[in-house]
Amino acid sequence: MLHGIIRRLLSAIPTLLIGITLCFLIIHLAPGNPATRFLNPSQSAQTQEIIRERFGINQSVPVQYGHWLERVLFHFDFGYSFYNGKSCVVVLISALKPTLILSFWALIFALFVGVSLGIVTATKADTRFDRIINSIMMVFISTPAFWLGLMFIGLFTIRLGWLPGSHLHSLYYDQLNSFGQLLDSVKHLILPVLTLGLPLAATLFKYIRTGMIDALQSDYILAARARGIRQSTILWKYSLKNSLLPVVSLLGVIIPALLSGAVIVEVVFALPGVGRAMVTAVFGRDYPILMAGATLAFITVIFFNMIADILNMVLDPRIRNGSGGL
Amino acid sequence: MKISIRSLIFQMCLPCLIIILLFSCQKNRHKQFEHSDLYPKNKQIQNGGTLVAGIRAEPESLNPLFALSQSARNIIGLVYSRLADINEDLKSYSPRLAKSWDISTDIPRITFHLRTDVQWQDGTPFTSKDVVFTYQMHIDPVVAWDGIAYKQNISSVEAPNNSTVVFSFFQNSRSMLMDAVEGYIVPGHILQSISPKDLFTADFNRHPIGTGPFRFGNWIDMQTITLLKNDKFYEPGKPHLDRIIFRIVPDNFNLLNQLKAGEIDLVEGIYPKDFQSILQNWDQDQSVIRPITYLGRRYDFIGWNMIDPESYRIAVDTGMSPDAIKNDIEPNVLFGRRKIRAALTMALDREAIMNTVNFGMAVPLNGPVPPILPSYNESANASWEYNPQKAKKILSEQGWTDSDGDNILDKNGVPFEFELLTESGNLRWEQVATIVQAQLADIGIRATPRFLEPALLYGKLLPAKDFDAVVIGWSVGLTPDFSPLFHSATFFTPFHFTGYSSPEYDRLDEISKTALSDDKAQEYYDKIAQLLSNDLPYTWLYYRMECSAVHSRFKDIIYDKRGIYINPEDWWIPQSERLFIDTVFQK
Repeated sequence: MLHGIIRRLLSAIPTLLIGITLCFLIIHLAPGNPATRFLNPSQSAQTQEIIRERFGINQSVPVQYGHWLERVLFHFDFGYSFYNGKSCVVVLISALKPTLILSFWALIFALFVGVSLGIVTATKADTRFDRIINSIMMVFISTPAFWLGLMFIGLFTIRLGWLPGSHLHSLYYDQLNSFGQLLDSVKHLILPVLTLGLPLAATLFKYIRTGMIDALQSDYILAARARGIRQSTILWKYSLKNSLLPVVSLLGVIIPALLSGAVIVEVVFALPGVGRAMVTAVFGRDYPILMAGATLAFITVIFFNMIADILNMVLDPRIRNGSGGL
Repeated sequence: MKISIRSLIFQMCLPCLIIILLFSCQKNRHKQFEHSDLYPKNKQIQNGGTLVAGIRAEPESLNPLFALSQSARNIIGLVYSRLADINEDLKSYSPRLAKSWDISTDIPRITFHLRTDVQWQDGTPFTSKDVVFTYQMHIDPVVAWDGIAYKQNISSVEAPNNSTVVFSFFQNSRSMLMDAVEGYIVPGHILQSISPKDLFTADFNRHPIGTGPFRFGNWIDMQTITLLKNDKFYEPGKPHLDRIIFRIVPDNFNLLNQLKAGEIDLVEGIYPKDFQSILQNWDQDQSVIRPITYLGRRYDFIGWNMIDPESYRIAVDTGMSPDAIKNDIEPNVLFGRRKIRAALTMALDREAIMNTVNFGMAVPLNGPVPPILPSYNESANASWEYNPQKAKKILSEQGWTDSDGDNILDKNGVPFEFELLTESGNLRWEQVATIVQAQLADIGIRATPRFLEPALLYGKLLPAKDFDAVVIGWSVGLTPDFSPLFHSATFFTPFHFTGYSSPEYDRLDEISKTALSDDKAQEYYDKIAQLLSNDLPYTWLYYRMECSAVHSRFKDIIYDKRGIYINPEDWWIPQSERLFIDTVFQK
C-alpha cells in the first residue's frame, strides 16, 4: 500500500506542474492587460512603463513564467498582489481560514443530513415520507447556490429578521463576552453553511439512498436477516458500509467542489475567503493572486483525490488486495 | 414503482408551499417613521455615535499616492488633509493645513502659511517639510501618482521655515492654486525611510497616519475598515462622531438590504432602479433612509472610431511615423465623416435612452463640458434633435441606401453594420447598447452589441483603437481638460481612442489653457464645446446624478457635486435618535 501511495505522490508532481503551467499561460495570454486599471488620461508613456515594470509584465511570457516558477519553487514566494501590493501568501493564508471553516461545517452538515436522511428514506422507500424528502432534495440539487443564498437572505434576514445575512461577525463582536462571540459566529455561519451544504447534502442523500436500497435488497442482507441478526446491525454494519464506498470516492470530487462552491457563497454572504479573493483577482487581472489561488486549487484537488483513493483502498479489500486502484 | 398523479402534484407543490408560507411572514410591515430635519434649526450638537458606510469593494490602499478607487479615496479624505479644499463654486478654496496663502503673478508663485497647531496622528508635528516631501513623491515617476498632471507647471517647492511653503511655477495660469493644493499631504517623517520603489508594498498603505478628522483604527480583510475620532484634530471640538466603520459588501442585493434594514447607514452609487424604492419609502414615511441626489462626476457617451482600425494596426505594426499615421491613415468607412456621425446622433432618441436607463436620475448632455463646471454653457453646444427621418435623408445623401432590399443600408456593396462594444456587467451600458441597436435598426443600420469584460474592452479600445463604436463613460475632474481625449498631440495615448484630429481644436485647447482671466477662458471653452459638439467624435448621451442614501439620524451632512464626504467632521447624531450601534462601543 505504501508503494502505491508513493507512486501516486510522484505522479501528482507532473500533473501539478502541467496544470499550473497551463493556467499561467491561459491567464497571461488572455487579451487585456492588468496595467489598464492604472491608466489615467494624463499618464505619460514613461509612467505606464514603470507600472508594467513594477508588476514584471513588461517581459515576455516565458521569462515571466521562469521568474515566477523560480520564486515559487526556491523561495515559496508567489509575489505581490497587483491590486493592493500585499504578499500573495499572506492574502491566501488569511483568506483560507474562513473558507476552511465554511467548507468544514458545510461538509459536516451535508454528511449528517445526507447520510441520515438517505438511510431513513431507504428503509421507508416508496412511502409518502420518502417521496416528500426526495422532492425536497431535488429542489436543493437543482437550485444554483447563489439563488439559494439570496433566497435565504430574503427569507431569514430580511423577512423574518432571524439571522444575519453577511460577514463573519457583527460589527460589535469585540464588545461581546466569549459566549456572545461564539453565538454571534454561529449565527453568521448558519445561512452560508446551509447554502453550501444543502445541495451537497442532497447529492449525498441520493447516493446513500440508492446504495442502501440496493444493499438492503441484496442476497447477503437477506441471509443476515434469515439468521436473525438485528435490524440495526444489518443497517449500520452491513448495508451502510457498502453504501458508503461510492461516497468515499465522491469525496475526492466533493471537497474541491465545496471550495469552488464557496466562491459564490463567499461573495453573496460577504465572507473573506479564498473564493472571494479569487473573484476580486479575476476581475482585476491580479495575476499573482490568481496563480497562487490556482496552485492551491490544484494541490487541493490532487490531495483529496489521493486521500479518497487511499480511503477506498482501506475500506474495500477488493482494491487493497487486487492490482487495481493505487 | 407507481406514483399517482395526486402524489406527484403533492410532491411538487410542497416545497413551493413552504417557501410561499415563509415569505408571507414579514417584519415591520407598513411601520411609519417620523423624519427629522437634516439641518436642525435649534441644534445642540452632541458628540458620539457611529456611522456605518457600505462599500462594494475593498480599497486597494489607504496611501493617497496609490489609491485609485472611490472607496479608497473616500476613506483617505477622512484620514488625511490637503493644504486647502475646493469650495462648491469650484473656483475658491477654504483653508485646511494652510491657514492662508499669497499668490504672486509677477513671478508665478504661491506662498502658503501653514497652521502650526497640526499634529500627525502619531503625535509628530506637521511641518512644511511634509509638504515638500509630498511634492517630491507626487512627481517621482517611480511612484507613478495618478495626479501628476497637476504638478507639471510647478518648477519647485521650497520650505523657508517650518510653517511656510513656496510653490514656484513655470508660467502664470488660472489653475496655479488648484495645481498646488491637489493631493493629500503624506507624513514625510514616516515615508522618507521607505524607498519609492518599495512604497507600493509598504505596510503603511494599510496602516495610514494622517492629519484628518479621523484616524485609522483597524482593517479586517474583506470585512471592515474602522476609523476612530482623531482627538488631535486641528479644528477644536471636531469631529463629532466617535467612529466610522466601512463595511465591505460585494453583493449589491445584500448591500441594499443591509441599508434598508438599518445595518448600514450610508451607501453611495446606488443603481437608479434601486434608488426609486428608497425614494418611495421615504416619501411615504416608511423608512428612515434618506435618499440623497446630486449631480455627480460621470457622463456616458457613444464613442465612434473615426479611423479605420485595420489600417491603423498595419501602420503601427509597420512602424509608420506618428505624423504619417495621423495624416494618412484611412478614415473609418462608417464613422469617418461628420455628417454620418450627425445622422447617427439624430437617429437616437437620447432622452428616451437617458430616462430608461437612469430612471430619471440624469440630465441631458450635448457637449464636452460637464454641467457641474463653472465653464458649462448649454447654449454653446450644437443641438441634434431626435429626427430619424432627417437622419435617414442625410445617410441617403451620403450614398447609404438599401439597394438590395434587406432592410440594411449599404454603399458600394458594404452594409452599414458594426459592433457596438461595452463593458459586461455594467447594466446601464448594456441597456444603452441594446436600445441603440433597436433605434438604429429603425433607420436600417445593424449595430450588434458586444459585452466584453473590462480588461478585454479597454485592451481593445485604449491602446489599440481596435473597435467600431463603444458605449462607455468618463469620470470628470473639477477643471475642464479635454486634451487627453481630443488633442492631436495625444493621438497615440490610450484615452484618445476615437482618432479625432482637428487643428482648430488643438489651437483652441492650447489657448484656453493659457488664458489668465476666467472670462477669456470661457470664450474658448464655448468655442471648444461648439466645435466638438458639431464634429461629434462622441455622441454624448447624458450626465448622471449620484444616488446615495443615509440614515436620517445623521445631521448637518453637506452634499453637492463634490460628493457626500465634504464635511464629515461636522456630522452628528442627536441623543434622542441614537441606536444600539451608537452606544455599544462605549462599554
